[in-house]
Amino acid sequence: MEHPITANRISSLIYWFFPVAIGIIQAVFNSYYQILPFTIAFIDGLTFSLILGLLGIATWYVVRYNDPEKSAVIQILASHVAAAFVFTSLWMLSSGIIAKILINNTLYDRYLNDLITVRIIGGFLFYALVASIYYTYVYSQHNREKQLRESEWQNQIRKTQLNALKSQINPHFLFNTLNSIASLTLINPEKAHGMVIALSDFMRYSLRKQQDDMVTLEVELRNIGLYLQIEKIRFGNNLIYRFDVEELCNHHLIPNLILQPLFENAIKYGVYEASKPVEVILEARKLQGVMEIKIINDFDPESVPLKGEGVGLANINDRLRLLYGSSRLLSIERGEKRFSVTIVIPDIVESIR
Amino acid sequence: MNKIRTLIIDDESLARDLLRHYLSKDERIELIGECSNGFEGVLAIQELNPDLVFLDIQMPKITGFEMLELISNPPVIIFSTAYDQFAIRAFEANAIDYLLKPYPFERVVVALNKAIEKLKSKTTSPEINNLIQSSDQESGMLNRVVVKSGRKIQVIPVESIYYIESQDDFVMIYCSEGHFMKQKTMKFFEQHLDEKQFVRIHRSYLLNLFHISEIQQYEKESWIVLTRQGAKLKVSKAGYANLKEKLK
Repeated sequence: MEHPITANRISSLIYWFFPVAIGIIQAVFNSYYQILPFTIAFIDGLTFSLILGLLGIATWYVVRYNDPEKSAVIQILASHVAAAFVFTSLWMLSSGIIAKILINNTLYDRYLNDLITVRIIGGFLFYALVASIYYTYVYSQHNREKQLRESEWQNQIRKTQLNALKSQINPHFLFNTLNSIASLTLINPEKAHGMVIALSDFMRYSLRKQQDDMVTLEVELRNIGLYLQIEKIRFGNNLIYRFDVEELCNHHLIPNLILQPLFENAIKYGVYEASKPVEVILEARKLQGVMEIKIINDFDPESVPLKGEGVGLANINDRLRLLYGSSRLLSIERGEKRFSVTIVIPDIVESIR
Repeated sequence: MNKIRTLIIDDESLARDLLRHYLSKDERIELIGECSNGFEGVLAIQELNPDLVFLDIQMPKITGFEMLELISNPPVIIFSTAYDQFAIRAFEANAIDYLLKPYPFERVVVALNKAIEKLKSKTTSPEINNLIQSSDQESGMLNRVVVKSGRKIQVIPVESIYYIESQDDFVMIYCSEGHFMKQKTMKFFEQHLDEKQFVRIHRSYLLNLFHISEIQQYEKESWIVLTRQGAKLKVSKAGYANLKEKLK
């Protein structure tokens, strides 16, 4: 946590107003009632109050290292009493010596001696005041951070749930696949056998992976491969797919199931709508500090989609933003016959808590 | 009784294979064709005039529901789909039958019995008309409109519609692809097109705001809209109020 006073010009100004004001009031009082000559009263008042102000700033570090959430109350009280002693004696000694050197007057020495008790009490009180102001500040900061973190965390939980739902197996896909299997059992049992196994592996992955957060690209692509293998049996020659992955990228971590909706989209807007073969390509390459994944699909420029395509992509963008703290990791590009989505995966996940 | 002339419309070849296999086991059925998308389906229904159609809903280009909008005298339809939300809609509307994929042969026989019953009574099927009507009510905002002129089927994105003109019990849709007749009411389009984009400016016109080029006062209480394509459309008093409200 930054120093609440020195970190900010306005709070410094407000803070310094008080010791300076106290010093000036004291000086005016002393010279008005002719306790001290005018110049001496001012040097005295300002010396004591400016040093008091400096010590007040230093008090922050005592507060900072006595966090009530980490140490016992007794221990904290003890260290503050000790600090108050040090604070007051430092103040009295250094101010007294400096004032004496500056003023060098026997009348003033008497005045100093008369005021010792009052100033000791004042020093303690000032210490207590400053320390409690710091504690109030620390508490309010703690609270604010806690609230922020809590709302962000709530948000994250909600989004994760939402995303978990989104990336669950699409029932349309599931039932059409089961129908294809029903068909294959009659005309090509061998192929039906392969498809049941691919579907089981795919489902197992999707069900299990909902708990994990990050997987390697290699693992994720193996699963996407199962999905595409199934779709390829359903759509035959209408689906052509290819993965172009740089060796370095295979072990790069990505949020699990984040590619699945992108492939579903590519299939939905590319293959489902097409009456000609459609190519779906994934390219992954390692760049400085990030991995770039691009998913490209052909589409029929004449087809008019039934529903907008924004929702799925917005969800992926949200998930990336929550994980990596940037909202510019997903971009789309719509060409005449090709649609491509690019996502950028930074090397480091920003810690969430 | 003659064999039931049956058509299969489904985009997945494996689904067609399975259905063909089932139908070959029933003596009453003669399979006369198979189509893999809605465009082919519409043409095949017109040319082959089947008694019965097994119809998938989600297909490339146009859906099974959109297909039915283009056919004036539809045959008996059995839906065959994996989409339960559609199936429920069809069921509510008294479709002859709907089959949820994957389904067993016995289930197909039940559906065929119903269809044959229907064909024997030889009425046009109000159920399907109901079905279309009900699909109108249920589906939300339209993104596209499917029309047909002669043998050509057009899928029009709603953005490219200039305006819609009502003509008795059908409408004429003017768009960048030309103008097309559609067996729907003005009210339907008013309800299913984005009201921020389409404004009823007159009893006879529903106008796409994006295609306005000019509004002229014509008489004291009547106005004319010029579209960017140069058409002149009358605006009624109420229509002018609507227009002003939307253009604010």
